[in-house]
Amino acid sequence: MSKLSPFLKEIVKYVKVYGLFVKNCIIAEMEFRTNFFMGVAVECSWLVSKLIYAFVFYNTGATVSGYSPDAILIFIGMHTVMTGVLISFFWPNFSRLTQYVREGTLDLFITKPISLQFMVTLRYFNFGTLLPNVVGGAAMIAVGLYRLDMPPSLYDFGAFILFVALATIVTYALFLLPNLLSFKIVDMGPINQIIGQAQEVNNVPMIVYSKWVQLAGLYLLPIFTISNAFPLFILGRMDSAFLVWIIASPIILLILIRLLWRSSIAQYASASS
Amino acid sequence: MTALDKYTHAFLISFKRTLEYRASFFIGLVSAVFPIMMQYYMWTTLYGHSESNEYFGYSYKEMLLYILLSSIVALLVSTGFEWEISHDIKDGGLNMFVIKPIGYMNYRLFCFGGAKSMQLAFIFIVIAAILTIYANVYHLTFEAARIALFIFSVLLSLLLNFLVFFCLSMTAFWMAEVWGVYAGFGVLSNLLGGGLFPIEVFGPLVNNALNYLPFKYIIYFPITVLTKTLSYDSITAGLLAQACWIGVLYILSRFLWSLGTKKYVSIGG
Repeated sequence: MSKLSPFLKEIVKYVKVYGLFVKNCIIAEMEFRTNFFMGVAVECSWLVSKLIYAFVFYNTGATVSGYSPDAILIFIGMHTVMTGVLISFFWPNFSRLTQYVREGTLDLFITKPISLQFMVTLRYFNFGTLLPNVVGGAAMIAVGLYRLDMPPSLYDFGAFILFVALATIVTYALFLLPNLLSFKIVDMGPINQIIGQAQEVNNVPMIVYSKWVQLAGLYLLPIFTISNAFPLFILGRMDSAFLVWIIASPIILLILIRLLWRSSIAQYASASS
Repeated sequence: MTALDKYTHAFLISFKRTLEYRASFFIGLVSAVFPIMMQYYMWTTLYGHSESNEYFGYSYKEMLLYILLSSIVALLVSTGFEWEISHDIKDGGLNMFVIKPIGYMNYRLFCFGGAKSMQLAFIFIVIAAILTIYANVYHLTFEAARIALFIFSVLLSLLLNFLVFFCLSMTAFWMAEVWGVYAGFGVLSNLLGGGLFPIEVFGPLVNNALNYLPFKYIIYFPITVLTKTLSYDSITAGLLAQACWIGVLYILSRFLWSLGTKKYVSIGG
């Protein structure tokens, strides 16, 4: 216990600091309310385009590999929630990384008495873009479950939270990975454009893809685990081996991204002096 | 220097700039692969799991061709100058144009034309390759007259989309923060223009409403000239509608510009 104590103290410290980051960002958003409402409006327009996918499945009425349009709505809902997580918790930070490197701001962060990776990758948060996606996505999941005569229970809610947490770690690691190129490339705009489009592959459930694409998206670059794990679990389509992978992959990715981050930082040369 | 010389220079500078930063355009093309791949698998699965040979009036082959062409045409007609206009208005960059004998809208139009001409040439080669492969694999034929009308219609679409976004960019005269308006409008105009799905997907009610808006003439209409069996009368009517919308939006953009410049206060620059 005495050995754990400093570790737990660190955890508490980081949770408190993260709480301050979030509070600070929400205060800033409330100060510039127009930006907040615009963020909500833009995400609502994206939400409409995601709903169109669901609309297409409902209109065709096709049952895909045993998944009815109601089941597919749950997949689209989970993707919507996770899009909110990506663009609210991570994107505001990852998109600044290149600027930090180019302008030498990273030097200032290095001097802070806190993990550099934590500071750089989690400092900013955007509430305006989170709200419509989480509300819209959760509503889609709930509607899908009710229409399947599977009203969500407290257990389902707990599973949802757990799978969102696991998917959040995968999202963090997978989308930080290409952004580490910021240490090598000056203009990340085109790469971010490709990443943004790549993320859209989850607009539809992975069951529509070919076997090889599914395997690559699950085990090589596990992008499909982000939006597909919870729906498969809740619909009783997940076997125990797959569940083990869903739990193990975030841990593996987190270790991998930590090692890559350290390697990138070791090669970093200040641009400011 | 004649008026045309000034704008020809703007055209050439923009053309050279696009050539210099050609990687951005090619990466845009590469990134379009993901939505195309997703839609390919989605429609292949939907048509494969149904007894129906048609969805929303499209056969499997027609749907795939639509998805391919819509992604490419959407990339071609996409703008981006609206952000530059809002910067000019907000940061005082417009001062330079107010004191010089150059029309701002004409300048923007020629810059847009210059940027698009390189893309246009490349994209037409890509489309020609797609049509050739399609004709060989699916044994479809594309009439030369329809291909010519498609090219003409795409050129009108470029002008139409320029005017739509020029009108939109005028909001920067009245609003300090416009990014949300531009981003939200961009998503919806692409959706309603048929950039994601053919507009038949939205059902008859929305389709009726879209008849009274310019969006469907930007992406959907040029593609249907090529892919659907539209009669030549329908094509002519569509081309006339494009021309009418260009006229209406030109008048509207001049009006908004005149209102906006009266409100414009030079700060900085």
